[in-house]
Amino acid sequence: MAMAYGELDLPDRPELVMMYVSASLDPAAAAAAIADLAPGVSLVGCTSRGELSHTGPAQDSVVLVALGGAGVRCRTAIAPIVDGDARTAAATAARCADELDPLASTVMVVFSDGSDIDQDDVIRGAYDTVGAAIPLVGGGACGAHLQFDPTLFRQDETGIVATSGVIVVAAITSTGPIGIGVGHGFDPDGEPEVVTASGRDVVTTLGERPALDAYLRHHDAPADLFDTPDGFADFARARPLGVARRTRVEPRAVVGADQTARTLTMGATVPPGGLVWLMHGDLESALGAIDVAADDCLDALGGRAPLAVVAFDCAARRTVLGGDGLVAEVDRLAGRAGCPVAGLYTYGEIARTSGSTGFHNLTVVLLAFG
Amino acid sequence: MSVAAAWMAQQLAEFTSVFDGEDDVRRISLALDRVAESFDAEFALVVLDGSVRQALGLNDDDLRSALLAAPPGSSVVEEGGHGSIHVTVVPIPRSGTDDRLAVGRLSDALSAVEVTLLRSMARTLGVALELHEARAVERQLHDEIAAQSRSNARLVESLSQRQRVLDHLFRIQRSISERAPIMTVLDSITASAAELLPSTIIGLRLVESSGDTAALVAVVGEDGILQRTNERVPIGEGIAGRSIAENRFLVADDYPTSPDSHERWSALGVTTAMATPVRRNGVAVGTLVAMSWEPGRRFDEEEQHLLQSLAEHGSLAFNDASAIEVIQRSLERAVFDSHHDQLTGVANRKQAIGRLEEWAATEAGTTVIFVDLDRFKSINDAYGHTTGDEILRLVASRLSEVVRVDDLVARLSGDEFLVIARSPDDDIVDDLAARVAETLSFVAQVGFREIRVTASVGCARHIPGETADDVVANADLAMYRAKESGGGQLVRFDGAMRDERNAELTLERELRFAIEHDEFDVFFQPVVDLESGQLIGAEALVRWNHPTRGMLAPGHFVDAAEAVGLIGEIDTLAMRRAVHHLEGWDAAGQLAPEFRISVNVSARRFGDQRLVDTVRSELEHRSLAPSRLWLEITETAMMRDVEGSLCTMQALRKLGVHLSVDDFGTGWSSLAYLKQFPVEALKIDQSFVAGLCENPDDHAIVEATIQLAAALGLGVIAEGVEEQAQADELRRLGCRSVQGYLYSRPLPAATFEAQWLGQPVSMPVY
Repeated sequence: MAMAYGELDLPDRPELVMMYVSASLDPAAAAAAIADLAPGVSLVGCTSRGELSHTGPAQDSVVLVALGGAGVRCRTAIAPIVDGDARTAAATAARCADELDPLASTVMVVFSDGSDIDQDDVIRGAYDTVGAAIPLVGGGACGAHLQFDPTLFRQDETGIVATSGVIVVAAITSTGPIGIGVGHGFDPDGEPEVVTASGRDVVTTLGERPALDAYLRHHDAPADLFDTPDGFADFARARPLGVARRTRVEPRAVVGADQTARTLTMGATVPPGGLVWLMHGDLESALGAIDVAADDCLDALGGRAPLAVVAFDCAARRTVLGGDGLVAEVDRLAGRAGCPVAGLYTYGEIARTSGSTGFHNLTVVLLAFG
Repeated sequence: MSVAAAWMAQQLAEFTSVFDGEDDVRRISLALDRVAESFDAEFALVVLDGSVRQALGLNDDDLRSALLAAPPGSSVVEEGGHGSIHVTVVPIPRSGTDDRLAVGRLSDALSAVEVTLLRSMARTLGVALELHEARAVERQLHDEIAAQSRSNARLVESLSQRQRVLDHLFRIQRSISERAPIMTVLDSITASAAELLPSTIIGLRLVESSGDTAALVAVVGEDGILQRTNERVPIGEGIAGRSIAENRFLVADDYPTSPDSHERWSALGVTTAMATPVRRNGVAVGTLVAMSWEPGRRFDEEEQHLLQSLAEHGSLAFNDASAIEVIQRSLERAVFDSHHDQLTGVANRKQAIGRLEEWAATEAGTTVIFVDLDRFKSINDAYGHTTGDEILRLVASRLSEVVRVDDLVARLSGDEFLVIARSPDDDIVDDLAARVAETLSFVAQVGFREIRVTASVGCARHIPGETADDVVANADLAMYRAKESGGGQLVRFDGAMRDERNAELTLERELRFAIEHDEFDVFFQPVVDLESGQLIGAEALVRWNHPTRGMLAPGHFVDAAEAVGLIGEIDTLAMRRAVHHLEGWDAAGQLAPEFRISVNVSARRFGDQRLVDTVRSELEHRSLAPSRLWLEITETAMMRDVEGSLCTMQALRKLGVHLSVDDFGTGWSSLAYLKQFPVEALKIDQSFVAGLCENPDDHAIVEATIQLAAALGLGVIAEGVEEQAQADELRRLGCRSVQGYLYSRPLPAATFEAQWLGQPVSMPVY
């Protein structure tokens, strides 16, 4: 922690520090360390599946992003999720934006404990409070076991809190522009299927057929995958389901299957009654997502060079990219940004720039400060 | 299929799914979320019933107002913070409402297809709302029905419970009304309490005779079996003891911490308890206790009332038992009183006769000792009835002391007592009779007075064939002999008395037969005017035409007739016969208008109220002037009951008959009363007439009587004139009417008619 904080080379007390701590590390120790290094400094953060910075992807590490200077203001908040009501928790935490006198651009960074909640509700809640005026970015924290048991951090002048079951937000307003970009790298394959039955993070049937069988047949999967779970995770890694939006298809990771029930286990909920595309991608297309996202967020800066880019990258993309792919991804990002980059691998990504929703899966979201 | 087409198809499907199983508020919120997400819109609102029901992204009041004011269809709203907002407003079709759905998007306006989709969504929302409202009504109705059903079920349960309670109470009340033994009733109450109060143990404690403790006489546990114990608690201690001591209902909701808790029951885990007294005539004689081991159990108001009601039934049973005891004692007292003399406490006539009948029928050697106090009427008159009653009590006490255990002392009436003894040994009985006579010769100390008391005692032994009444009559006769001998002595009924008695009984039977068979007749003895010798009337004298003894004068049967109560009937027969003849002679014109018949009225008959009715009846049934009828009443009879005599004579005079005093001079009459009596003539007794010429005293009496009658304006008739000298002297003294053998002895009606009614009748002169 001290090393990372030392590398920040801060001329002044920062306005905000964002901290991403590997889930493999002791979050309490990390919290104590940063509190010791930067006592009372506004801080938000969480544990992650992996981290990235301009030095490359990393694990078992801590990444710090510090924002400061005269042109930045921020307010942070933390709110508990009570009885699974993420919408109310997010709405409550988002009220910290009311304390800010907005500058030229404002964005709200949201981190959530993604275990056992509907991530869409996090966005709806924050949107209920801040509305269309403030875009939302962020993601779900990851614990040692993916979305389970993450730790979120929030520090203010009274001290630091490291806990789970909360939503942590940081409202940031800046005199400079702020850009947000989103990319995933998966394309629809063939005709869509009707989700005839589904539940929370489970697709039961597609077109009245067992979802697993329909999925495998669509993708001409090897015969053994119909009977054994071995190899299914690898097969499905780059073959998400895609849910339709008005102008796009958004991927939803297929994280597993129930051989007995013949269902697909999803990384996010796919609502019943709608259509889904069976998508596919690969390393190249996954790397291409960086370009797509970078184009959007850097274009939004209106020609100004970015001062920093923060990446919220889906942890599931790590399996698609692979070890070399992760390095290539950070290289491409750093190359496109031309400025310090930092980020984390999240369980679900948040990017609301239009409309009222913005939950993503198998996606990279870039936040650029100009 | 294009993404756009797929998206369109999907949105409506996803939108429709919002309305599955959500409540009204949440479904509208989700629907709006879905609408905004479907169109990538930043703003949306739903207006229902004229007000914003749900809004999305419209925290700014100006922005909200702008969207709210947007017209139906597509338009652009300029809002400072956001710039141009493309707004589309569509109606939500719902009967009778002005509902609408509005969507605002920053990027661009909704396409026609999107507008169509929005309209579809709005229509779906409207249908869903209406369906929800219908379902809400149906659900409310269902809830009301369910609530009513639950209420009914509770009511049924309550009624069932109440019916159970009533059934138990009815059984208890019936056992009380059927006079079941008190413990049977109390056991029933205890068992009923255990059945009606679940998860309890019921105990009944009754105060013991010492009054210091209450024993647990009946206990029913959860097994429902009633058991007896001897466990006891001090009165005043614990909830049971205190409910008795304070005579009130007590409840210990939290028994372990209650000051009424007892270590024994607390150790057994009693959690709550209540006790209520069972009373007898308002005094606590026990308590009914309920205890529960159930954690958290509390006896509610209904259970408390139930226990008290059951205990009150116990009180009712006790009071009923008390009432029965009182009634029984009253009955026993009444039975006792019905067999005992109130004044002295010894047996009364009813018991005496009953005992005598029993013994006479089954045992030999029964003896009756008849006791009659001497001069008791004089003692009463002299010293008052209070003293007389005390003497009677002393007599009864002395008799009770001298008799043996099995002997019976009874008071018949007035101053008459009986001792009924039983022994085959005559000596024992004689000895008893002697002791009785001896003990009844004493000086009674009453107050400050010393009064000499003696008794006439008659003793008669029962012999087979005699009834109880026979024995009593025999003893009575013997007593009467003792009385006639001066009193204060014992006379034993013997053979001579038996014969006399038998003769009396025979005579009685003969008299009854004679009455039934019309053996009585009347003879008429003329009454003549002393100066003219003319007939002025006749005295009707009863005669008994005895079938074997011939014609009997009254002296042969009047006493016996009076003794057996037949004199009244004989008198009535004689009167009727006399009046019959009178009527006949009168109708035949054989009588002067002033001719009268005089009929004797016996003393006993004179005291009978029916005399007046009999005379009235005779007069009503006959065409006879009442003035023709004279009734002769002896002086003695008149003076027996002066007040009563006066009333009777006045009643007879009202009928129009005349009255005369018979045998005047032989009784103890007061001239003051004689002045009051409505008599019109005096008849000088024949005993005085018989000595008129030889005995100066008789002469003086006759003379005085004649003068007295003249002074009082009464007529006078001399009876028994047998000699001319007597007649002459009577004439000289001023007597005008006479009767006697000198003129005629009593004659049968036909003879009288033949001998005397052919003569002219002169005016009666007195």
